[in-house]
Amino acid sequence: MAEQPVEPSFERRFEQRTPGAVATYLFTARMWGRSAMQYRASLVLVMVNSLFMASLELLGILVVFGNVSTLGGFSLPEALYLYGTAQAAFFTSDLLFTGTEYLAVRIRMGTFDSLLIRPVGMLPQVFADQFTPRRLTPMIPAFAALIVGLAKAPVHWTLLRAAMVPYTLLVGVVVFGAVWVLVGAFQIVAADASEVMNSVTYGGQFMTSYPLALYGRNLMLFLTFGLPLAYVNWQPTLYVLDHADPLGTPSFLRFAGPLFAAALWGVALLAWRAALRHHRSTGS
Amino acid sequence: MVVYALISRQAFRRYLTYRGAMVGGVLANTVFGIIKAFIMMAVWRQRPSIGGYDVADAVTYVFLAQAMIGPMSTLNNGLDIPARIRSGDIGTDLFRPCDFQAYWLANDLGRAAFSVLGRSVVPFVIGALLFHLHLPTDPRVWAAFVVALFLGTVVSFALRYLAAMSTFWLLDEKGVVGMATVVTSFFSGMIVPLVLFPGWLGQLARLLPFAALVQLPADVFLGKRSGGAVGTGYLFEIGWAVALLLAGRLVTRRARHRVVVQGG
Repeated sequence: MAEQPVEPSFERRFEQRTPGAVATYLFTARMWGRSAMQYRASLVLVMVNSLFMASLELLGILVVFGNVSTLGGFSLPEALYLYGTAQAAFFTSDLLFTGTEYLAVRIRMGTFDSLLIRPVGMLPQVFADQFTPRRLTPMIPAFAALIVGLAKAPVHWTLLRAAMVPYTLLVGVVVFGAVWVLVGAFQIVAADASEVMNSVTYGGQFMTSYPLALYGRNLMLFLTFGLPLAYVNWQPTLYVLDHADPLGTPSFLRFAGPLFAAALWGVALLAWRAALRHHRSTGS
Repeated sequence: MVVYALISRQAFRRYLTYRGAMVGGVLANTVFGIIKAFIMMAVWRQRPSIGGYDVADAVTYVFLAQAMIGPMSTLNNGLDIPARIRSGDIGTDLFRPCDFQAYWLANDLGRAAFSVLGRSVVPFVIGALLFHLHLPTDPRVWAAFVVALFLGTVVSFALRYLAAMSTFWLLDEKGVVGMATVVTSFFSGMIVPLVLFPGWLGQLARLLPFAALVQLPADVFLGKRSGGAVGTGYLFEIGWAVALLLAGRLVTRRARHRVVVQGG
C-alpha cells in the first residue's frame, strides 16, 4: 500500500508561520475546546443545564404574557423577537469573546504573564481563553424565540427589513464584543472587584431582552447616546416591527448601529491598552 | 451549641474578607432589581391588581427577591461540600467532633447572615429610594418577616445540602446542583413572582419547599399573611425544613458508608 502524504497537523502549520489574530484565536479556542471535551459527561450535563437556565428566562416571559397582552407596546410575538435578538447576540458574543471574564483570576494567580510572553497578539488569546462548547446550548431558546416571534409578528416584509434581521444580530454581537473588551480592561485594573462588570454584561443582556420603552426616558437616553446598548437590537427592531421610538429620535438612528459600535470599540481598545500598560507583573 | 455559634461566626468573618465580590454582588442585584421593577410596573399598569398585589407590592417584591439572592443562595449552591469531596478535605470534615450536617448548617447560617448585611440591605435601600415601596410600619411585621426569613434560610440550606451531597456518588456536582438551581430559581418566585403564575402552576408552586425561600417571607413582609396565616406559614417552613433535613441525615449516613479517604 502506497504511503499517504501526511497532511501537516494544525499545530504544525500554526508553528510554521507568524500567526495572525484569527489563527491565534482559532488555535487557542481549539485547545480549550479539546480540553473541555475531556470531561464529556460533565460537559453534557453543563450544556443541558445552560439550556434549561436559558429556557427558564423565556418561560418567565411567557408567564408574564399570561397576565398581560402587551409589554412596553410590544405584543407577545414582537417581544419574543426582541428577546431572541438580544439573547442570540449576547450568547454568540459570550461564545466568541467571553475569555476576558477570566482575566481577574489570571491576574490573581499570576498566569496572566504567561499570555503576555507568547509571541502572538493578546486580544485573540484572551478572547479564546477557556473557550467551551457549553455556550452553544443557550442559543437554542434564543433562536427559537427569534424565529417564532418573526413568524407570528405582523411584519410588512421588504428586502431591507429582511436584511435587517441578520444585520441586527451582527451589530449586536459587535456591540457586546466591545463590552467584553471593557470587561477585560476592568479585570486587569481591578481584579478584586471583577464582579462589578456583571451589571454591564449580564445586566445589558437582561435589559436589551425587553422593550427599552419600559425603562423610562432617562435610562433610554443613556442607552441610546451613552452606553449604546440600544443598538444591540432595540433600534433596528423598531424599524423591522415598524414601531416609533418613544424618544422621538430621527429614523436614521435605526441604522446607526455600526457607528456607535465603532465608537464603543474605540473606547474599549483604548481602555484595553491603558490596562495592559497599567499591569505590573508580579514576577512570578 | 457554642461550637456551632463559633462556626457560624467564622463563616461570617470569612465572607467579610471578599469585599470586591460583595460590591459586585450589590451592584448587580441593584441593577437587575431596577430593570425588573420597570418590567413589573408595566405589567401592573395594565392590571392594577394581580393575586392581591398592587403595583407597590410588586415592586417591593422585586427588591425583596433581589435581596434574598444572597442569603437564600438561589443562584448557586454556596456550600463547599462538592469541592471538598473532590479535594479529599471532606475526610477532615467527617472526622470533626461535631455533627456533619449541623456543621454545614452553622457554616451556611454564618454565610447567610453576612449576606443579609453585605448584599441584601443596600440593594433594598436603593430600591426604596428610587421607587415607591410598600414598607411595613408595624414593627411586629418586621419581626415576623425576620423569623420567616430565618426559617426560609434553613429550608434553602436543607435543599442545597441534598444537592451538594450527591457529589459523594457522582464526584461532579455540576449536573445535580445546576438542575437544582434551575428548579429553585423558577419555583421560589425569583424569576417571576408566583402571583403571576397561572392557576394550577401557582397552586403547585406554593406547596413546594421553594416557596419558603422568597414568596413566603415576601408575603409576610407585604402583610399578605398576617395573624394566623403567619403561623401556618411558619409551620409550612418548619415542616419542609424538618423533612428535608431528615432526608439529608439519611443521605449523610449512606455517604459515610461509601466514602473512602485515601492517603493520610
